[in-house]
Amino acid sequence: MRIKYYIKSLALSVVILISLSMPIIAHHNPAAHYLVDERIEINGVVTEFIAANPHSRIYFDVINDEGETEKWMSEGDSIINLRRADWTDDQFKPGDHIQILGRPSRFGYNLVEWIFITNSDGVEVGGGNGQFAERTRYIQTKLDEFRKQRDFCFTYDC
Amino acid sequence: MKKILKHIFTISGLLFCMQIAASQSSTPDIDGIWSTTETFFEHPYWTIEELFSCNCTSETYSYLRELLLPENDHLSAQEIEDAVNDHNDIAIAEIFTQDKIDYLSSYDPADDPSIQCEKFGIVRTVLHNDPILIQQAQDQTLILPEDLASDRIIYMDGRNHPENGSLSALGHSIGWYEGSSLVIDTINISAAIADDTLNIHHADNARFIERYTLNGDGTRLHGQFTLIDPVMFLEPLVLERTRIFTPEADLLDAPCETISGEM
Repeated sequence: MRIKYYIKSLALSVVILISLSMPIIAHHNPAAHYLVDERIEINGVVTEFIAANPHSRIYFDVINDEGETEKWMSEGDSIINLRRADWTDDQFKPGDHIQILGRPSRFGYNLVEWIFITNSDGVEVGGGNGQFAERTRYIQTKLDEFRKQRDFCFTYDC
Repeated sequence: MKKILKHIFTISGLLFCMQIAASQSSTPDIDGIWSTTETFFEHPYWTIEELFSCNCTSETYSYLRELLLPENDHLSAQEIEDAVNDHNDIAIAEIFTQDKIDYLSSYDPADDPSIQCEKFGIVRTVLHNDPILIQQAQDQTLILPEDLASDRIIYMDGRNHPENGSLSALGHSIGWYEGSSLVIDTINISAAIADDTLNIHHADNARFIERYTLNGDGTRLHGQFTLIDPVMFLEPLVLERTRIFTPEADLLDAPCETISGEM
């Protein structure tokens, strides 16, 4: 009986751990293709950008340590959400230099799910995954305002 | 003079009673486009608590209110959001049945049918956080979403659910009004993913009850969603999320392309 309880607790803990690793925003669960708790950073040159649903895709060339060109693909948010973040359907053009911070492929492919994309000017483009970064920054600003107002009213009895 | 005053009081009383009767029989006006913080976070309607909103349990919202107290001012917005999501995941997992735990241990997210552009079922459609358009008519309410979420018809003409109806992704939905709330009851639902980010699924014949309550000034629609599925959950799973009125929003669409997770 006790062993059964421990097994059930262990199974539940595993389930909770898996659930906790899921990101907030996802059209479908990125764990389908990516290692959601790992990060890689990679630089490359764009060969094609496909504005698509459920996931837009960037194809790019990467020079590896041996000086050879590798073909890579990065996918991110749906074009519906990217358009809301003022992305255009030709946001990236062939020849653009980009740096991607993202989640690596679950199966070892040259695949990365982008979290942030930085262009050659050092500008973070649309926060990477749709409006994720802008949303976080905006909420932080509002949180700071809320705390100031709360403290002010506590002092001055609003 | 006395007679005139008497008439005035009588007419005033009648008008007052008519107004009460009218307000009690009127349905809430929830026609229009309603959005969550996922797509319209920069909006003056949102309170600080609502900016952290999610498809969360009421206990999680109580926990959020604690996180906004002065003793937690050292937490960043991201840390608060992460803590809220962790709390919600745990609260939901605590009511998993053993069948649900066993199912999850063998479930592969790569099998999600939406990856192959299959439309969402009813629960996933409702819990999807993109904007929705609600159109109220005499005998039906239509809820039109974006993307892979499904268009819905809710029958408001007093009919019952069909007996021995066949199961389907959207089930059979009937609705009615209770004061300022639209209540929708859906049965005959086939097994599906309820929410991929919360990692919840439901079995065949789950029951799904939605309650949308309009606030006093018509700017907010508070959603309460109850999933009744004794196969997967020890007790009904109740989640809540608020939407705001965003008539300026566009419901966007784009064709779906299947992906394989390979180059």
